[in-house]
Amino acid sequence: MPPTQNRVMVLTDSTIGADGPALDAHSGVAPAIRLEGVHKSYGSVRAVDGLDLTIAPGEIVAVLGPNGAGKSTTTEMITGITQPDGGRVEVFGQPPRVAVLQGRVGVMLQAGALLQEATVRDVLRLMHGLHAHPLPLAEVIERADLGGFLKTRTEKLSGGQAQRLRYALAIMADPQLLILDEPTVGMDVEIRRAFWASMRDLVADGRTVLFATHHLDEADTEADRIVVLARGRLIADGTPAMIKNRVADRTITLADRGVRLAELARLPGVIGAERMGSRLQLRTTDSDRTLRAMIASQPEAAELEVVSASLEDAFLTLMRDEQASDGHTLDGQTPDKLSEDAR
Amino acid sequence: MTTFVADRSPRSDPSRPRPRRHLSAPVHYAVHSTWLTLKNFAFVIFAVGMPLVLYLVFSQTFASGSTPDARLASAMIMVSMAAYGSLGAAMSGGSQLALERRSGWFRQLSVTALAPRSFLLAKAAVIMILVLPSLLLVYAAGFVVGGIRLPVAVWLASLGLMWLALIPLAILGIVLGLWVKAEAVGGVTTLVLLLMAMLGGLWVPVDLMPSAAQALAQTMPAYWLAELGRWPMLPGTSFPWVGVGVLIAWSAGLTVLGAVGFRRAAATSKR
Repeated sequence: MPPTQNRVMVLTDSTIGADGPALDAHSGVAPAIRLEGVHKSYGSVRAVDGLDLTIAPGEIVAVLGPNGAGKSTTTEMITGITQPDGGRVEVFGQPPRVAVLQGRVGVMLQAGALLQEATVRDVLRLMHGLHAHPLPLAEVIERADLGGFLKTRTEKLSGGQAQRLRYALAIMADPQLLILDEPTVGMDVEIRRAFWASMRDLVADGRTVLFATHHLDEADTEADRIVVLARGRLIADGTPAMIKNRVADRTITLADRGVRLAELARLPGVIGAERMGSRLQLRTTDSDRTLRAMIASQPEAAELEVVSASLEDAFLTLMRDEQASDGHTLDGQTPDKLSEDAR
Repeated sequence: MTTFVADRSPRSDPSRPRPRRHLSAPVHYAVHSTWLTLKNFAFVIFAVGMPLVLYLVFSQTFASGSTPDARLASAMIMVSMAAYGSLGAAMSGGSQLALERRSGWFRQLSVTALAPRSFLLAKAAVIMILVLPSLLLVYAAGFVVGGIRLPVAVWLASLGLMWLALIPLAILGIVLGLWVKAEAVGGVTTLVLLLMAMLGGLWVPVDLMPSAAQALAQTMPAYWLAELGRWPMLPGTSFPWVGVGVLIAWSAGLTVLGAVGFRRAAATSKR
């Protein structure tokens, strides 16, 4: 068993309850999700490898990680579809299966199945009666914007329409915990935006959301908190800002006039310098020192801009560190590659 | 274009009206699932239409005329075809399950208030409802077209006994749905249906079979399904208790097989 705990980078501040149990003791409220030392293997593959994670009610959490990081397996254990080999999984302080039966959990499975040879309305009606305290059907149809294709048979739906039906099935239970596994796959940009607006509206009253995505911009804008998984382990946990700060590097760009790239590359802190069109771009570990030295030695430097790392940079750095610390590769997966994989 | 609706009062208001569930989850599932199946053209043709047509053809060919013997022969054919049709309906319920298992719909259902065990019970209930059209329509044809006249009590006893005798066959359908891959389930189901029908003497009367086949037939649920259906029509014959025993044994064995298959299906259903 590799020592996972010391490699987990928990970016905690006072608002994030990485120490869930302590949080309970104070508030008396069970966490929405608690995973303790959870393991799950498929044959020789360790899908989830000692995962500890606590999510408080009302949090909106994004799960990031390359394919095979254990995101879907984790989702399945939280919904009681899959049983862990070891460790504990609790949802609102109960076994997942119980929470699901009580209608407290709504799930949008990755490429989840839809009943064949039935119309959208048939599927909605069938599923509606199976929940303990469902949302009114009309509201479900409205929120998921299904009104335009209720009579369409499920096998004839477009990718985006099918996702909206899956979303409808997920919110139908009127759940306190909403789990969305790559919800926006197959949606075009406009529908994606509308989808998140609808989701925000639904959860504005304090529902908990856990979503997995390959679109890092969605994690950045929609989540209060991001957890990053790699090979079934938690490798980072914090707000989007904290995750981004993980990458201390800044990028300085300036006009390609009156300065020499080779000289800029020798400035303190600079770890990379290149020409990008009409501008020069420097990567630096300490933008303040680099800028002071640049202004002192390069009086011609003009049109300066300093940009902090994006979530994508942070994610790539995390993945690289994870790879380096383990001596394994992640099959060269990058977020760009991941977006493609996600169809 | 797309709106997804943005203005809504928050849900936390406890006074907000909620739709009340009128039916328990398994009953709701059984009712809706039955309705969806009855809307399915292929099901209606094969499980309901075909036995009806077969009865009409066979009875007109082999049991035409209005002698009491011809009426009795027509009634026997009617029971065989009703048994064949209901057997087919029971099998097709199982193949549906295999398809749902492959597509992952099985998993989608498992994240509702319908517990997996209740799901299988509901599925069995659906099959027990879906066998009824085959039975009733063939019997109706026997009355209307075949001119079969029997006391009401005999009709009801025959239908009731056949319906009960279909229990192990409904379980067999579920077992096939749990064990057979979706790609193969169509073929396997048809094969099992034909074997059951042939060995059970639904196609060719058992009396015409060689003795070994006759002995084998007496271990088959389809044979006893038809025997129980005929018994009320043949006064003076003793009640086939052996058949009840055979059917119970099949039910027990298949339930065990189903329980094992269910555990396996839950663990390996498409991820």
